[in-house]
Amino acid sequence: MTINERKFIEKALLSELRIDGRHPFDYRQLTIKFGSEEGSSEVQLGQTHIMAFVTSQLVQPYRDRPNEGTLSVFTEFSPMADPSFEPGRPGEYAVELGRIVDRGLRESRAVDTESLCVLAGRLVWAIRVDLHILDNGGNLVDAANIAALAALMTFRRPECTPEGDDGQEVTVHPPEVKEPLPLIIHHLPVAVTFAFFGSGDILVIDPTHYEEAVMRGRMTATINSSGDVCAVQKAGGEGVMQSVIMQCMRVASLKAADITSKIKNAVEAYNTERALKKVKQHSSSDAIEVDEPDIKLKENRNPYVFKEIGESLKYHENRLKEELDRKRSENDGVEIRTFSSQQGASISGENVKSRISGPSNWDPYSKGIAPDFLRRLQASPGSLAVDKEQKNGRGLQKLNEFKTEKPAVEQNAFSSASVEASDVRQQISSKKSLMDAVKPKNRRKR
Amino acid sequence: MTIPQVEFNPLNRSDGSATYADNLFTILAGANGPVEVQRRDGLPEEAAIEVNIRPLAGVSGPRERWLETILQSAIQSILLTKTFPRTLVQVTLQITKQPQRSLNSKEHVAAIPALFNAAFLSLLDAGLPLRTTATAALFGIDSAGSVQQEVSEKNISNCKSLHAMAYDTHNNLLFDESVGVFSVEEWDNLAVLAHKKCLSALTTTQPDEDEMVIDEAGGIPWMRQAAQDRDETFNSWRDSS
Repeated sequence: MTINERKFIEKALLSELRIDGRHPFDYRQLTIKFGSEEGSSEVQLGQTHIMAFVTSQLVQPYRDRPNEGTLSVFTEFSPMADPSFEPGRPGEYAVELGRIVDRGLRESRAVDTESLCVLAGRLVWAIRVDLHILDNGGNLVDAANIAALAALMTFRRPECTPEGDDGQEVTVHPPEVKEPLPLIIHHLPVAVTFAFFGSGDILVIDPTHYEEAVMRGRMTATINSSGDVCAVQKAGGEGVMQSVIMQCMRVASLKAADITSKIKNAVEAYNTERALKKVKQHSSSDAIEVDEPDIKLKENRNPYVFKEIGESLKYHENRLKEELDRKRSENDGVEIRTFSSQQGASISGENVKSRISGPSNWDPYSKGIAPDFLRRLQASPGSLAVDKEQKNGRGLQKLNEFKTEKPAVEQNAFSSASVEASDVRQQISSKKSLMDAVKPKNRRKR
Repeated sequence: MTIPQVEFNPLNRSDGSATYADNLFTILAGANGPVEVQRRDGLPEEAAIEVNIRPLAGVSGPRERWLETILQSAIQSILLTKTFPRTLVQVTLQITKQPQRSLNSKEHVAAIPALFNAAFLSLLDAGLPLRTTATAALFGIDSAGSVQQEVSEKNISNCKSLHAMAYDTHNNLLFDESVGVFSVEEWDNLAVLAHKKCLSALTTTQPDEDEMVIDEAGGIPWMRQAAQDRDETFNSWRDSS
């Protein structure tokens, strides 16, 4: 970087101007995408581009922690991200980045490692997070942390059950046989990075790589959405006033809440899409089981049903928002929970029904549905497939349209209330499964 | 036949970059060059070429080293390295999607064409001087002895041999990596097929312009099209001014 550029950045910061037009406490645009495989995510934070990929493996646990699985984070820089990165041995920054993300996730116990135990002392799941830095636009730490969280939240490990006479043999079920299980994530520690300029009195959030070249010091605070500080990293650099650090913490906790909701919305959208895919697969696989009365019933309803699924899902978000606003969330909140938590259960007629049978005021198309029809629909999931088979692919087409036009990220339609609701749900489920994870282990020990 | 999807310049920091997606792999390639070379790697009369392959999960091992050497020599034969003595051209290839089922050692050959095509496109995007244009293609011969023009996740396990070949526009074979059991006749037959397929990816879109058009197996000039599209979009400012 030239001296002129350096001077320009410093001079501009004195009057609270940044070269990309942001204010000191503005975060860059965050985009979270998910890959075709479960447990892969791509995060773009301004020009920074990071891909995370999660894999799992059955290994022998550490001797001192016989009933805990492991979580490890790997980062490696390549000249692709920045010509100054050398391949091969990791540089100082690469090590620091890996450590910050690792500490934020592992040492704050964000991922429940006890539930990764299969056979105490013999087999546990080792979760590996690979972070690929594709483009260095500055602030790799925050982007890497978000990518790792998003990937971990969508990752599903294969289910396995102990078998044999003594329960010492383990069968790993392929995803077609048993629905893979998501990880239990207690909270989302989000890293927020600040850069210090001048004599430590000028402060900006989320520095770009230009600002990183000029800055005198950096601090990363890892905070979760409930405001707990999980980790703080300030490795040398210019000395900073204690009051400035406190200010950083306040800003960081606000940003962390914001980023958390962004990640959750992205994951929610991904799960919805995934469930939708499952519904489609399910209905097509059921196409064989056709029974007479349903077809007769369908005669007059046909053009609607499939459309309704598409429509109702389209209005799903809006409805959720509206309903919550009206404080009538009780009934629908439950429905959504069953839908999006779908642990291990394939989507069956019941879930489909729960989405169709909302109050008719939100969906103009559902007015024509009689309750007894819904009951029949629920009773025989095969009836859905009959539509698809028998009727013009219009409804199906609608479903596809809906799928494609739905962006992977954003979803501002989800209100913050819905995020809270899902939060509660997550906590409840995590408590449950923690217990589940502990019980059998003790039993086996004896 | 599925047309490979190409996107130019997805990255901001490297000199040239491209993504390449076929039905088995998606590769993100970044090229930097000419850059400063470490003293021990520098060559007095030409540019050194460094290829880094980064797997989707895990660290790179012998498999990646082996693939790197193949690509390194292939790139050396098309890049005008003499133009930049005592410098380095870096090509980094990140695998971003691979077949869900883990491939056996034989099937690693299947990655070579995608890696080569991605590397070539990134060099093109970086504006490095190239001797010629080249593409690579993958073929398989299944247990019945018939040639699989398009190796996919489904039929790859049925192939008794796999062949990755690259040709340039001067009809030179840049590399050939064949694994499995096959006869010399089968290979001869494949070499002709691969030649046609590689050339057809590079032929002009206007058939009457020159005589190089080969309209046979897989005759889609996808690389030509991609390069042309890139040229148009990246030079559009010239026309508008």
